[in-house]
Amino acid sequence: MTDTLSQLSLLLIIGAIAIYAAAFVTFALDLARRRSPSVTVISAVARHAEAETPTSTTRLANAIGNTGVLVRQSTTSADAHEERPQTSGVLRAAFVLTLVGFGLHLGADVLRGIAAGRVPWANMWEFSMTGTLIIVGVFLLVTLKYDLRFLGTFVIGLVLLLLGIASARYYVPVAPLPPALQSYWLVIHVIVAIIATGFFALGFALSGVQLLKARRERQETDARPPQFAFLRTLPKWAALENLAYRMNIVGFILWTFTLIAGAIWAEKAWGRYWGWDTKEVWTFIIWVLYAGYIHARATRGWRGSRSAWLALIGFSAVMFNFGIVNVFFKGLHSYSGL
Amino acid sequence: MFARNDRDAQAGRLRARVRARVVLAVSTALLLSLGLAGCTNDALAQQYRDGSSKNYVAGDGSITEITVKNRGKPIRFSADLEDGTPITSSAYTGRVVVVNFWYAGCPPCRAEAPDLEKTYTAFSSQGVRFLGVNVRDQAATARSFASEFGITYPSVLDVDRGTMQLAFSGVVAPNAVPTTIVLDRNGRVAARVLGKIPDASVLEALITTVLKEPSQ
Amino acid sequence: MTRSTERIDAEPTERTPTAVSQPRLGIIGWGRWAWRQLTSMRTALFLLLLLALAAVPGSLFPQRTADPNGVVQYFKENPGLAPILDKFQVFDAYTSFWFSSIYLLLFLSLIGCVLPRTVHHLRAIRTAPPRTPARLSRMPGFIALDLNDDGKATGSAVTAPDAIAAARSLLRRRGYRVAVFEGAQTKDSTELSVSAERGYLREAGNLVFHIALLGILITVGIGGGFGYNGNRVVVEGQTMINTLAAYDSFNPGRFFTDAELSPYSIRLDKLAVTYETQNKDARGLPTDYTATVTARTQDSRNGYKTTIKVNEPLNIGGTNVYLLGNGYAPHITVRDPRGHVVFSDFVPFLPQDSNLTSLGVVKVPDGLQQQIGMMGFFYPTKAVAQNGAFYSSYPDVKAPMLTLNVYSGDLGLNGGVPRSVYTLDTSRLKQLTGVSTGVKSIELAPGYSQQLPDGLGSVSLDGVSRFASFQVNHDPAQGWVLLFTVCAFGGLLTSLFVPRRRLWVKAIGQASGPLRLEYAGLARGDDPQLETVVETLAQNHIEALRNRDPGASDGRHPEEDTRRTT
Repeated sequence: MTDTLSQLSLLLIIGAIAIYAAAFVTFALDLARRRSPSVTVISAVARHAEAETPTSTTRLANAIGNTGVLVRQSTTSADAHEERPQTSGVLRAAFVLTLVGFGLHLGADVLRGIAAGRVPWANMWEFSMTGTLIIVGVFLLVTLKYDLRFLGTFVIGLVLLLLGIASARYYVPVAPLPPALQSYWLVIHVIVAIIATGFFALGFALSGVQLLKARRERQETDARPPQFAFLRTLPKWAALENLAYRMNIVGFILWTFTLIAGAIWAEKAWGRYWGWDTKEVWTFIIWVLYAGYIHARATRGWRGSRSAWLALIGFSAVMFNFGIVNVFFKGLHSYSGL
Repeated sequence: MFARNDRDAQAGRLRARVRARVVLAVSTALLLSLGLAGCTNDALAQQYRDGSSKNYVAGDGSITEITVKNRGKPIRFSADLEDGTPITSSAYTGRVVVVNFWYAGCPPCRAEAPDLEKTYTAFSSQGVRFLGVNVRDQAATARSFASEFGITYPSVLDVDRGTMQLAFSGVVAPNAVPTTIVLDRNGRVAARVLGKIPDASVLEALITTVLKEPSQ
Repeated sequence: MTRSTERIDAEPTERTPTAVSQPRLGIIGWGRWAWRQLTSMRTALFLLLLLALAAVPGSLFPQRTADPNGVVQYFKENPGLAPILDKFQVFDAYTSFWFSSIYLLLFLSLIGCVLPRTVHHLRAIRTAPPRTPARLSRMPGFIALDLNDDGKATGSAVTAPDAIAAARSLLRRRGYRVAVFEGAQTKDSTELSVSAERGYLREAGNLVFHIALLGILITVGIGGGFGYNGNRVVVEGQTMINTLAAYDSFNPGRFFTDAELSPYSIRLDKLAVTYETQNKDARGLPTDYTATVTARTQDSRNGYKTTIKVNEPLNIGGTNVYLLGNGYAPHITVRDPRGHVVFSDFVPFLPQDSNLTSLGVVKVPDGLQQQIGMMGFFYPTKAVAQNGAFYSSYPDVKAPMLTLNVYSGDLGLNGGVPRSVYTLDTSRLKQLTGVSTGVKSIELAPGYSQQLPDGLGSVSLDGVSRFASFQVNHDPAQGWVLLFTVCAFGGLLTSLFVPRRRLWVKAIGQASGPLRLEYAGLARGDDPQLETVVETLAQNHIEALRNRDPGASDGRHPEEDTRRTT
């Protein structure tokens, strides 16, 4: 039974990888098509109207009815769903593929959990599988609020890379939990860390795009030849910066919780809440880096590109913590079952 | 990002001074509580940091003597000797007792063994009793040690039950291996040497002091 | 997270005092300058990033507090480099002078920032919202509309005081602090406005967060200073006591005194280990460790039975006792040539792999012609590899086997110098068995006995017990650390998610023409909802005006909060 389920889980993962690969190509195609000026793609957040425009179609005007006359309403940023953005068929296809891939991925993860009879994040393979699932999940979730589909290439690319490495290197059959992990803190501590990673990934992507976009905007003002044509269709860097910040603070809060929950668990399992174990150190470093990012954003001269670089460094540390510290560093967290 | 532009310069300076004082106080407290810069020279901490895996906490030969009126309650114990003979603290009432915590594989215990035996022989005629408490070994190992060093006083094997160590733990506890404790005639701790006794004469002096105390 | 950088930037004369321009700055002047630099946002940011960087080396090199043996090993492997690194306290990275200086400066900077901000915030809470800006049209979310209600629907026309009174109560109900202001009066128009502010909790949360961080630092320091932890390996059937003499290793806090050790004893009755047997991919994986113990405090005559498991420590005498490790302790007995037992003990062997191939050292200092040392392996389930070497194929005791190499000579114990119990110093020992000697090593199954070489006697394996490795931990400030942590987290959530914003509603009564209403807002900090909020306010305000009871607020002037402006 366990064998069948975990076999099925593996099959679904392979399916998910295939679909994600197709989605990745399609997302990339969409970005490539944005070069051509004949295709008009307007991302919702891109609609960044500074002009004070008298509008007569808003809910406000309806509410006023005949009681008054709306004289002027200024909008400095757009509500994402006020107006349906025009999107290309390619982008829609890529998004649908992502949804399908996510469905398979979710199925694989759930089956693995059932096969193991516990939460599916107790070793490096399961952690990679659930981690990538959550990254895609957070991406889809955030897309409900802000249209971030232009990040699809990056998000799915990252997920493909991680899943690829994990299935090649980290696959292990289902095994029972070692006593050290038999704690409800495993459920809480790890899943929150994974979700935080999902938000950090989006923040990373947005900060990266923000830097590219800022560069392009500078190129445009300096009348130099602008690079990366697809950037033309993306929101202005300030809007990207704002979004990146929102993703990163959600990540930061979840990461803070991870740190606290980890300390409580460490107290229960190892007899001290903090012992500068390598994984603890890196969790702390990441926390400090993102704290630095948040502070940088409030520091004159640092808001914008400099703070964005900090977000990039922060996420690199997250990836380092996940991929390198887990595998190559000696420490108490190294029962990842490789 | 809230500017405090409204600050009056005069008040600001005053506040800055007050603030600096508060900060000084807090930071001093911080420095004290943290033990800044890892300059932990404490011998006990150092043993841990050495990572020698010698597996016992060594003493530095420090001596604690307790004046009669500061002594705690009489220590009550009951245990079995190496040969199985049961003993209790009441059997020792009215006598000065030297209790030595040891085990065979502990280097300082081996080093001090001849001095202990020598002192024992010297004082047994004056009614002083010696009692070993072996904290790690089984009977055979303990007996081999005794015959090797010609130890003639008995020992309790405490590794399995721990009753002797528990009875003596508390304020003047055996906090190193070896530890030598001198009990007065009422069974109260009168002196303690943590670690190897520096010299037989030191132990002799401690015993003599207690012996000279009038019996109550 | 906001910090008044402007404090410095706004006072350029004080920011850049150089020796050239102000040669007579003096000590106080320099002190103030240094203090300003330290408490500036830029410095805080710099220190934060430096802290992250400084935390890295500690994860690359073994640390004395976490892994003292690892440090010893590092010294052995890198005899040239290690002492140099040690000079820079690389093996005590987190208590090193450089790491400590960074975080102490950081916290000093934090104090310097938080204190004045707390004062400022306390003052801000007590003051009314600031005056409405003269031209709202420059503010975000600006909405202007003309009310063409001529009073037919409601009986009387809406006046500026009516509109402002309605806006004021609307905003108050939503938790805004409000103040009503009279604006410029001309013969053509009267202007009345309400200024509202909310989200003081944002700054309060921010302050709580930072102060709680300080609390964490202090309580961690206190806990570390007065706490202790100690380790002890206990074989089944044996007892450990919470006295220093009973510990294998002991790590005291800076202010630790012996009196902190509360007297109790813990006897390990049994260590039960469960292994996975069904799942063929995980056969032999341990699934449960349960130590059954008898705990006894000094005052109680009898102990009580309880269990200690991984993740389930035992709380006793103000300490927690953790089960951190396990292994086998073969019961080894050595006899002299006459058959007289000279040594008998359960010797803990340290596990070397997941199948518990275990390495151990037996030292027999007394009772034989010469001291002997034995070093060897214990295999709970012996298997033979193709090259003939033994290994353990399963962690449980299925086919136990003990192999020993015998050494004789001087164990080095008599000099009074500490020796590791897990290694044999062979410098003054002669190897009697093993490959180089041509004499076969001793191999024992339980119940079997074998002669020692050179007619020294015999050795037997009488059984196998398990040992548990316990850690005792005492941290008097742990609860406080948790409390401050929870405060910090709460503060963080509040400071990042409670929006702080100002809203304004202005009513301009025109002598000729309709009543003009203006709405606008201002975000202080990240506030994605601001424009929606202004729009909703306008909507609800209009609805309130439409549904108003004409008698209730008729001409009533909110005199009490009106501030006349010039």
